[in-house]
Amino acid sequence: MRKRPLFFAFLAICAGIWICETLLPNHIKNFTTTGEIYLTANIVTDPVHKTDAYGRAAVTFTAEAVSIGKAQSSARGLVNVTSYDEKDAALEYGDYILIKGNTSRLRAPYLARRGIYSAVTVNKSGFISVIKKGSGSCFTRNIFRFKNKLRILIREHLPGAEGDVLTGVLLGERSAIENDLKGRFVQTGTVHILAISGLHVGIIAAIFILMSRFFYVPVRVTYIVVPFLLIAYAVLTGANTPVTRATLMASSVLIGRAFNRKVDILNCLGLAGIFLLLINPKMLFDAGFQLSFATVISIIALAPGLETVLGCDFEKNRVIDYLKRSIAVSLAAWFGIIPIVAYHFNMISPVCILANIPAVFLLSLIVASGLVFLSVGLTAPFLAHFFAGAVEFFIAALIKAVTVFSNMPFAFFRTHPWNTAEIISFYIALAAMGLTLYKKNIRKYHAAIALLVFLNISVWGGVLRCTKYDVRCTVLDVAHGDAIMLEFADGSCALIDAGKKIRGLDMGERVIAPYLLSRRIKRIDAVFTTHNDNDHAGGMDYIIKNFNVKNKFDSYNLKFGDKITGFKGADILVLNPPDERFRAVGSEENENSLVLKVVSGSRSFIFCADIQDQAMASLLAYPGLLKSDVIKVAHHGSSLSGTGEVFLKYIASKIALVSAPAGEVSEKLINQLVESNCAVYITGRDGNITVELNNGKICLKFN
Amino acid sequence: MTKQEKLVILFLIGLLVLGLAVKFYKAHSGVPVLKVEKIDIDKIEKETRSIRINTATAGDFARLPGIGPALAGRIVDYRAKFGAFSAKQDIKNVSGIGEKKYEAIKDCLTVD
Repeated sequence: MRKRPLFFAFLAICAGIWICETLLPNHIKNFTTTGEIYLTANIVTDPVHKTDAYGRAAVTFTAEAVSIGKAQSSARGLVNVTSYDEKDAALEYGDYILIKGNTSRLRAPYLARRGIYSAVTVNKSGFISVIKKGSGSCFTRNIFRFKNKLRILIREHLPGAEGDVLTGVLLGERSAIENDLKGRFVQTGTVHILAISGLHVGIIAAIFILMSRFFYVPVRVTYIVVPFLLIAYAVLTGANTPVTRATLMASSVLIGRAFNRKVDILNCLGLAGIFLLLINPKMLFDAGFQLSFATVISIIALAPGLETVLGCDFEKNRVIDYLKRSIAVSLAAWFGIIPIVAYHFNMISPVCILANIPAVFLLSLIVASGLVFLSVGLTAPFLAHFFAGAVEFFIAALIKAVTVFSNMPFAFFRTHPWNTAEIISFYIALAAMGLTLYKKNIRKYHAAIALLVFLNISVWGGVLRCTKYDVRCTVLDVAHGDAIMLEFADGSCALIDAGKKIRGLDMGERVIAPYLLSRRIKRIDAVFTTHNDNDHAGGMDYIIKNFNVKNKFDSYNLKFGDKITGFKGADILVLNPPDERFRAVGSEENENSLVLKVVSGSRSFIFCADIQDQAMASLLAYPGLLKSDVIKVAHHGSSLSGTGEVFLKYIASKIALVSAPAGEVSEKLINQLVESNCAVYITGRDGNITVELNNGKICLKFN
Repeated sequence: MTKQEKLVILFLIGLLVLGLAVKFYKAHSGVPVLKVEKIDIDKIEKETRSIRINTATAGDFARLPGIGPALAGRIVDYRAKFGAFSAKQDIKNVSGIGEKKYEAIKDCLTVD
């Protein structure tokens, strides 16, 4: 023991972490997963004010639990809190608060990597009261107060979309930016400009250094002071991964310079990486982490080689030289992140090479003029107006440029999320091609072989996908709403409903399109819009616009007694609406919604859309037709009348699927189903639910 | 470039072209032609609903209109006691099934 203290200390730390994570049962995720809770917690982030999807003002923040329940038993772990109460807008970092609200489970992997597994929503029936102010770090609290001042200043002078962009670009808050505009930045591969990235840190460091030179500050003093300013800026923006990475790198480079040490940029990158992974190893799988490191590595490795190929050293004209160098950097960065963007965002954007040149140039101007505007605004508010005009002009130019690039033909195309083999073979090919730039002992045809291997893996991976099912039905988790994907053995497929579309959230774009791409589906043979309510039809526009949809069906062109044939191994029967549509005040759309029955061999699935009493009562005349092995329960699992109960008995399924948030499903309905020996699955609790039918056998899968 | 290396490159190009061809073929050949047909749902209903009264379980009988689990149990008990039904109308001998109930369910029953 005495000889190897570090080794045993390491073992002890490992054991400690393991015990904390697994044996201590008081993690917040182990308590109630849904319903009302009381919680005391410390606010650990700067609360963000935003307008939610329904247009309600909300404030959201992350809090670290201290105790739970009325008895205040101890708890730990992080929760995301959203409050709709106006007076909660005054909450700030470091407040110790008591919350009464509704909790629900979060499943997003990027949140899990940050250790957040549950959310608490505070609306009218709940409250937040501050027990004590001022816990947490004093430094951070003051930085957030300063940030709030800046935020108000920006909103005062730039109330429009330009102000939203500037808040995103300088303060790292992009929740206010319109979704459509954000989408354009994503499509052109310039979204790193909105999210604070390493580039911002670089620009700000350069501005600080230039300024101190202007005022004749000794070089060594500058190199030691600037890292502290950068750290303050990183905290101010919420210290996301790319910013932390860039701050660490820039700081180590500058401090190294201050002491006349030779600086190796890759070593600095390694140091930043080790630091980040020590804090949170799960960050390795975070999109921001991967993009940030891949970009830097590939710029360092490829850009000098590409510059030589483009002949940068021989240009006399400085503008052309600058442009060529920009293209080389842009190209190098893009090559490095292709697989990561394809994997996380299902997109390949060649336009990113061109779009980034003006975008990065404008970003430098925006950051520089923005800093001047803010410092003038804080010291001499009456002058700020003039500087705001300049900032506004540059941001308007940026938005215009991005819009033009995103409208270009072949600007971007969608792809399936790449698998491990594709990603690895791509990077091998990229490395081989990179080496040929430097004429190291590798020939061009070696690189060509590596590239061909990658292309073969990519193409054959798509061709050789086996389908080991007759019918594969997936009920997607679209919160409140329906979206069901049917896939058949020959690769044909159909979509029943597409979830809702509300301000800032289109389920077609956010849930269904990524799912289709992950299944490598580009053609949809039939879409069924069961009825025209937003929670069923809302996302359909996006799907029809972005995928090759062959047939469109709805409750007006199909009716009882129709049978759709042509899918391999299965037919679809239409059981509702009847010849003469139901008349019902208020629930007319629901009563006339399409009820579909998919029949494959002796097995069948029934999808009940949103039908209510009238439709159910009229279907009771056909108990033989109703009987099905799997049911998608009507109307998101709302409670049933007597007719509904008989209807369920006639269907007599052994598996019931409910498409709704877990808290919305009627307890009574669940009990009825369970009593009749039926297994119940709810998208809000179980996520996407897949039922595969293979040779008469039914198999369930979740993800 | 040696001869072997040339062969490898040619082979990989060939494989790639083949893969692209198969991909193209798959994307364009498997498109199903969907048809909407009118079917006689009442006929299908009758077929799917028909219950073989000599082999059906209590659960099957319980799905018939007007027959609950208790009555369904009595039908099965009757069958166990007196043996198979020789004709549909014999089911009326079960206590609880009168002329009215029989009329409602007779189309759904078969004897064989």
